[in-house]
Amino acid sequence: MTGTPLLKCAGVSKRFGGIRALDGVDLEVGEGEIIGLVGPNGSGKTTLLSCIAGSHSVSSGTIELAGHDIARSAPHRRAHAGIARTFQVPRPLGSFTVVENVAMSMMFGRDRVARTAALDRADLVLERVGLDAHRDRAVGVLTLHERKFLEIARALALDPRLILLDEVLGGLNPAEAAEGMSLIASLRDSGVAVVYIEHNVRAVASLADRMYVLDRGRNLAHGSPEAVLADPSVVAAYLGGEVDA
Amino acid sequence: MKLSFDPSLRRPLVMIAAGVAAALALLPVLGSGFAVTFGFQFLIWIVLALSWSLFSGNTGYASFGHGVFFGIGTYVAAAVFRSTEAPFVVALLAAGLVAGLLALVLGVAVFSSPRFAGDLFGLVTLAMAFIVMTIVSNTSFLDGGTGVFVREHTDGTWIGASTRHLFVVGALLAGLAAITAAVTSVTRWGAALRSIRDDESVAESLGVPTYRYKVVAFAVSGAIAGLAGAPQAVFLGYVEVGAVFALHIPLFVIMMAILGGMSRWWGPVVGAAVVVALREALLGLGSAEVAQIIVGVSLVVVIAVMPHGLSGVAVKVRKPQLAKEEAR
Repeated sequence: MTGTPLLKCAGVSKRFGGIRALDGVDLEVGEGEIIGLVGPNGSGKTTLLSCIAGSHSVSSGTIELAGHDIARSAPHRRAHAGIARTFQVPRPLGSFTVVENVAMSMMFGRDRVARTAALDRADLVLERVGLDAHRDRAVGVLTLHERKFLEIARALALDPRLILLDEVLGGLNPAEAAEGMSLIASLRDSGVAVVYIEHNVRAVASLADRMYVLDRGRNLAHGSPEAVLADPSVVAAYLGGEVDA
Repeated sequence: MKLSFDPSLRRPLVMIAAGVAAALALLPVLGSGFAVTFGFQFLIWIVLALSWSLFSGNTGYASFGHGVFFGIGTYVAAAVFRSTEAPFVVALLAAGLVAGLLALVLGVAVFSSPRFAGDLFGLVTLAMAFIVMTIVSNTSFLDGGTGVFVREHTDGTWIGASTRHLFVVGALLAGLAAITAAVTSVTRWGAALRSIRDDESVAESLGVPTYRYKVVAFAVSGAIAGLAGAPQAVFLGYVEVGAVFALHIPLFVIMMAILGGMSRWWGPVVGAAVVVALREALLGLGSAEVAQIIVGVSLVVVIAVMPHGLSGVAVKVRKPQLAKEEAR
């Protein structure tokens, strides 16, 4: 990667009381790049995403977006700067319909679109993720698959430069997961950078340009998917055996 | 800035205008005695329930300190009457302004700390009520422990001349509170507040500046309650801490909002009507204590069987599919 990275995390640490969830983690993401972030349970992947999105403050370290320090910015300012995120367990806004959930990102995101126009534009995003038939439904009736895709739709509606995806394929059947993977791949074509957490390492490796591996809150390895999956320390600490890359 | 009119507002605004017009048209029929007094108090409860719901109903931050802003409004108006010859409208605006500023300052302080989110917020607002009450009680300009006679300063003025005039002011304030609630229900501002209630962290991640919205909504809610304090000062004639800052005021307001339901902007109006009517009917039984118990039990029953309040039941009857999906 050359030039200023879109996102640069340097020495990011996060403590929760006496527990050190992140310990000097580094991460760089280039424009339009898909980064796979893997690691065993409790390795700090979601905590790192939350630190980048601003829902957790960092204990130390720096986070820069396009060269600007955002480590102390409120989450909504990071959303305005172009960072969108999804949640591991989908968290739709319960008193809003499907289309209103998506329109919220447009009304309060980078462009602050008026409500009526935001509802119109949200239809295009719903069409893109295949939720247009559920436009006016209450979110409470959606299936897990639909809720996960609503998370992606809401993130896309922010018109982001970087999307943080937290296990968006978790719990989906193979057909739904395949649909999700092609949706993530399409983000690359639209020039949006992605940091992608998933337990399914093969799914991550098939989509990612580069991968980072965390273990117990520290960087364990990073590089091309092939190099990372072949790294003996990764195999030993995380995968626990041989992997066909 | 270009202001656009949301067509979905037309119906509520027509209904509010018709409601205020009907109340004013009813005035000659009511006469000048008990019915007008009862009507005025009912209108003030509507203002308080709608203004509480504007912040607490929309954001989910339950405030137990709403009576403070009403009480401060009452005292500020009393101070204006006592110290100046200014017309009622000045006292009214001063009451709203000071109550709004107080809410603004408290909001800036309380919402700065995430520790005061959730249940602790309710406790903080309750503590705030006792602090403000003590300050007012010990400030000679406002009370000084003796109470304030207002009637001798308003006698001979338009507002002091008749309870009918208080009723007119009450109807206009109820209309203002209703318009604010209706507009909030369909605008970006209201959407931001409701997203805070649903999930504040998600709202932030979608770009909603939650702190700013909470502070402003709290201030507007406090200002409207403060406005209601001005005619109340005239109505009481003698303003004293124990009556003005009584704890039953915020509790009744919360009860009205919950009973009526907060998922529709008009829910608190229904709640105010039911609580006031129920209380009045039960008082006829001869025991105020029994009346209080029955009203309290009614609230518990409504919460248990109608989580969306009476307005939620109305929606269930008219739009069963929508209510079914909302309930999930």
